[in-house]
Amino acid sequence: MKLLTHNMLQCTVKGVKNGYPLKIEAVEFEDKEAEFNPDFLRHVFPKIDWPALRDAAETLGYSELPPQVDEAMLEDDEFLRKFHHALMEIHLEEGTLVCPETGRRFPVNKGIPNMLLNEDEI
Amino acid sequence: LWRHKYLIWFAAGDFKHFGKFRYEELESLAQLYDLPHPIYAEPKSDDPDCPYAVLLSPSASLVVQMTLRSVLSQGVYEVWASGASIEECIENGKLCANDPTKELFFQKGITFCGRVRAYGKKFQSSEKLPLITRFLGALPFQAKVDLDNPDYEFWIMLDYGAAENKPDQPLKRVFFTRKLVKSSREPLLLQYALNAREYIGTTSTKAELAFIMANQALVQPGDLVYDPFVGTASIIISCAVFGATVFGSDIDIRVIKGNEKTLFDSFKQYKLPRPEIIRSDASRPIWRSGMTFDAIVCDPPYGIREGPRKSGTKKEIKEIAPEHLDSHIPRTQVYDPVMLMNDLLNFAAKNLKLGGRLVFLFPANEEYSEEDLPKHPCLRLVANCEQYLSRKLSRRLITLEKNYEHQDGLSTSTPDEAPSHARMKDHFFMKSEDPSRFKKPKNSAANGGDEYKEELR
Repeated sequence: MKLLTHNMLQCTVKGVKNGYPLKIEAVEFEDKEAEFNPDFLRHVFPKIDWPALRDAAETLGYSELPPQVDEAMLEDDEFLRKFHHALMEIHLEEGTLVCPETGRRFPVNKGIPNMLLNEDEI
Repeated sequence: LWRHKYLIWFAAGDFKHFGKFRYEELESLAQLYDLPHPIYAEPKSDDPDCPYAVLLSPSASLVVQMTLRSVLSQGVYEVWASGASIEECIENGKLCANDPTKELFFQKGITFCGRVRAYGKKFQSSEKLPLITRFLGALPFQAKVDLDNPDYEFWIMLDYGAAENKPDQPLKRVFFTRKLVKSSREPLLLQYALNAREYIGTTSTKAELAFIMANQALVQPGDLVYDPFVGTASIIISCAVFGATVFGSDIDIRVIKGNEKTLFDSFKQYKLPRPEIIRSDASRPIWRSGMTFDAIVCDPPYGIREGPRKSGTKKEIKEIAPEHLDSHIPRTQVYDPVMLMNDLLNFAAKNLKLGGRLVFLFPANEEYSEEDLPKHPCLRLVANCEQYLSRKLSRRLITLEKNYEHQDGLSTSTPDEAPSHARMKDHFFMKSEDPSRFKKPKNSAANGGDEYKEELR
């Protein structure tokens, strides 16, 4: 899974108030080249929770993202390439996503997160 | 604003199954490419089989872009003249001789050809040539004729109205046109036909319908598009072809993991970026609030072919001991189609962008009425088109657009009486039914196929 997807997922176990962002426990992750598309990045930027993306990237060993961002930086090619790499090229293959509130663990196998809940969690 | 007329020649595909879809696709594409209103130069034909629509556009490039995205059009033509009779059309065509934008076509050194197409009447080739000569001869062309590879093609389009089984219909209208571009219909349907796809299942959506859905969803490059019942990913493949970043989820691990092949193999086959796939339950939204998709597309399971399931159980819930957590298989229960629809609309109302569309397939039998459609105060019905499958059975392609921001307390309204889709399963599994028809379909994607019942989930 891309960090783009991680940025969008939350835990919805019964009663959880703040199931976002999910903490990443990585067993295996890899970089896969993706086509660099500035228009896409500008389009998706307003949808992104920046602190969550930055933390996730750092957990997976990429600490090039600046702490503060604004729309003006979307004109800067160097920034766009870093944003692109973090969002679209770092893939979590094996590991676990952990709910920050309940500690509920969601496994990720072969790049597919399993967000199914057990019957006592809904 | 000066606008020219353009003639869309609809695909000669399966009119019977996609008749009304052609206008709806055209109107969606007009919205996608910002064609100014009104888009039609002439009212839509009340003949559902009529292969022509006449559009108004400030430029050829807009209608060309639309046509290149259309799967239900064959091509687009610039209208030089029209008339209620051949004579009137030729007279009107003569005005083009003084039109400075058409000087190019009256130069020497270019090649051209003339062709005839008639709807509702069969023309012999011996009748065509004199007609072409009359039209082209009325204008100061100096071009040389080249039938195989001309620079420009001029088409005389005759409309005799409905149905070839009624001979000697009076001529209704004539267009003298120049061909601009062929649609991408043929290459798209050939390249993405199910019968050559790496990974399909019994309910995979055929390429033609999947591309219509992507057009209804106004999918553009860079969009985030989500299918909450992804199955074999047949719908989001079409969205990915149009440049979207696609997401899919499914409760059933088998559809995600496949057998020997998986849905990821189909994306590799088409050289599309790997989709983001999540195992999850459509009744439990997994996306953070405030996160919005540009479009949601799906063919939900209604219990006809695929028994819909969701998380949870009706039995007593026992706490799962920590040591069993890793190996515990979450229980699932039957997912009532009416609940499923409500969940889908509530989700779309929250997690679609404003102006974004939810496009889904909806089964209908003879009991169907528009009252059966689920409704949500934030979502407006933009298209509701019937795909005819058999005398007793059809399915509808529903397009909803989010026109109001979601607020707490807004949710779907369910009809007072149980809608017809609530009983779809009972309707289909009658004792006399032959179970053999639920074999793997032959996947004749290019011609629309015939095993329609196979397609209903």
